[in-house]
Amino acid sequence: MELIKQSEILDGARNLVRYAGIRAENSVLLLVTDKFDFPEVVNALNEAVGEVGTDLSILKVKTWSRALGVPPKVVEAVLPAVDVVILQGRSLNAQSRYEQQAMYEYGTNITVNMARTPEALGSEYGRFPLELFYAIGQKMLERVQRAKRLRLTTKAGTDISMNIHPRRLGGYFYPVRKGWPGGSKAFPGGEFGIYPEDPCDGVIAVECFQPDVSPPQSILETPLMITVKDHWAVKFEGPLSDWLQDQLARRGDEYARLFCEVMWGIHPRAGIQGCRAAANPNILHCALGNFQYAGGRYYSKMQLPLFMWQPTITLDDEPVILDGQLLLLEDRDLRKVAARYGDPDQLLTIRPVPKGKNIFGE
Amino acid sequence: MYETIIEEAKSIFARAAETVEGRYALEGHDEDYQFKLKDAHSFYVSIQGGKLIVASGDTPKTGYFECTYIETDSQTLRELFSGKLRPVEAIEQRRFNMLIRMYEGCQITILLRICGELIRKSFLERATTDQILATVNKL
Repeated sequence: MELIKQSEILDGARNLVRYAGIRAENSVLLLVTDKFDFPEVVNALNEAVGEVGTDLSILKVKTWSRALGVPPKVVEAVLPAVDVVILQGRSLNAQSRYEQQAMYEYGTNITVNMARTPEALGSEYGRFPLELFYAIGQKMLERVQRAKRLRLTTKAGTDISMNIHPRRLGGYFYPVRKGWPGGSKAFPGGEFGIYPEDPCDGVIAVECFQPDVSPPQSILETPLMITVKDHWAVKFEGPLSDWLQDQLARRGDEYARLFCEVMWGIHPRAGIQGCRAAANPNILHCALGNFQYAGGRYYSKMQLPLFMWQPTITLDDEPVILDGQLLLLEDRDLRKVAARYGDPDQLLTIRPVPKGKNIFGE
Repeated sequence: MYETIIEEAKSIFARAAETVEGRYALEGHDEDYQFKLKDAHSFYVSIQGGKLIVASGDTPKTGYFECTYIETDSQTLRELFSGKLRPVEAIEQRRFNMLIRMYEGCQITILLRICGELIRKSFLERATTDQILATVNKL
C-alpha cells in the first residue's frame, strides 16, 4: 500500500470539489455508506467543501445493494432537497427511479466518489490534474466522433462490431459547467461510452460480473460467451449462462437483452487498490439493457454490466486501445499539458490491472 | 394542432421560467432542447444567458455540448404540462426519449416538472370541491 499524507488526501478532496463544480451558494450533502466511512476522507471533503464557502452536511447510512436493494427512506427523502450530493460509497444507482427523480425533476447534482479510500483519494488517481484529464477526454471525443465503425476484441474471444453515432455517446470525461442542475458524474471519471448503432453483431466473452448483482462467482476462469445478433443477445454459452438468462428474465423486460452499451477506460492512473477500475484502459465493459440516459434508443428497467480485460478497440480499423494500452497517451499535445503538472511519463503511464484482480474495490 | 402545441409550450415554459426554481435551472448553463414531435412540427427551447425562448423549427445549434434532442408527441407533452405525467415516468414509458450526454438534459425535465406543479396548483386554487372530487374519482 502506498504511503499517503493527509495533505495529499486534502488535495484529492479539493480536486473532487472542483470536478463537481461546487459553489458557495450550493447546499451539499455527503452521503456515507458504512463500508466506506473513512474519517480521513470525510474530514478532507468537509474541509475542501468549506474552502469554497459552503457547509457540508453529512448523512451516514448502512450500505445497500446498488443493483438489487432499496435505499433507506431518509435517502430518498433527502436527495431531491439538496443541490449537490457526494456519494462516499457505491449504493446509489443512477438508473433507479428515486435517483432519476432527484436528478431529472429536482436538479440534484450527484458526484460518486470513485476514489473512496484515503489511499485512492490522496494518490495520483484522486489528485490527477483535471486539465490533463479533460484534454484526454476531448481527444477521445474528437476521435470517436470522426469514426463510423467500432470493433472490440479481447484475447478471451470477444469480437463484436458496431456503427457509431456522433451524439449517442457519453461518460465521465469533460468538465462540469457552472451550476448545471441535475446530472450524475463519477469522480475522478475516466469512462468513455457509446450506444452501439446497427449493424451490431458479434460475440462478447464475459470475464467478470460485478459482485453487487450477486453472481455465483464474480471472476470467471473461462469466459461466458454471448452471441449478439442484430443488437440483441441471442445465445449464452459457458459458465453462469443459466444464471444470467434467469436474471434477464426475472428482473428484466422486453429490452433487457438489448446490447446497449460499450464503455472503456481513458484514465491512465485508475485501478488503484480499493476502487472500481473500469476507468482504466486495461478494462472494457459492455452492458445489456438500459442506456437510455446516455443517448441509447430504448429504456429498460434493468442494466447488467459485463467486464472484460485487455481489450483492443479499433475505430474504422485503426486501434485506439491495443491490448489495454490507450494509444493517444503518446499524443504530443497531451504530453505538453502533462508537463505542466509533472513528469509526463509518470502521469501518462497506465497503471496495470491484471486479469483476476478485484476491480470493484470490495 | 401545430400552432397550438407550440403556443402552449411558449406559455407554460415561460411561466415555469419565472419561478425561483425555474430561474435557477436557467442560470445553470446555455443549451438548446430540440423537440421532434411524432405528430406535429418541430420546435425548440433555447436557454441562453438565463433567459428562455421557445421557437418553431430546428435550432441552429447542433454541437455535442450545445443541444439535446427529444423525441415525443403532443399528447405526452400535454400530459407533462398538466402534471398528469411526471418527466421520469414519461422517460420510463418510452414516451419522452432524450438524445443526451450521460445523465444530463436535466434543465428541460426540471422545467417540465415545474410546469406540471403550476397547473395542478392553479387547478386546485380555482376548482370547486365538486370539481376536485370529480377529478379524484376519475383517478
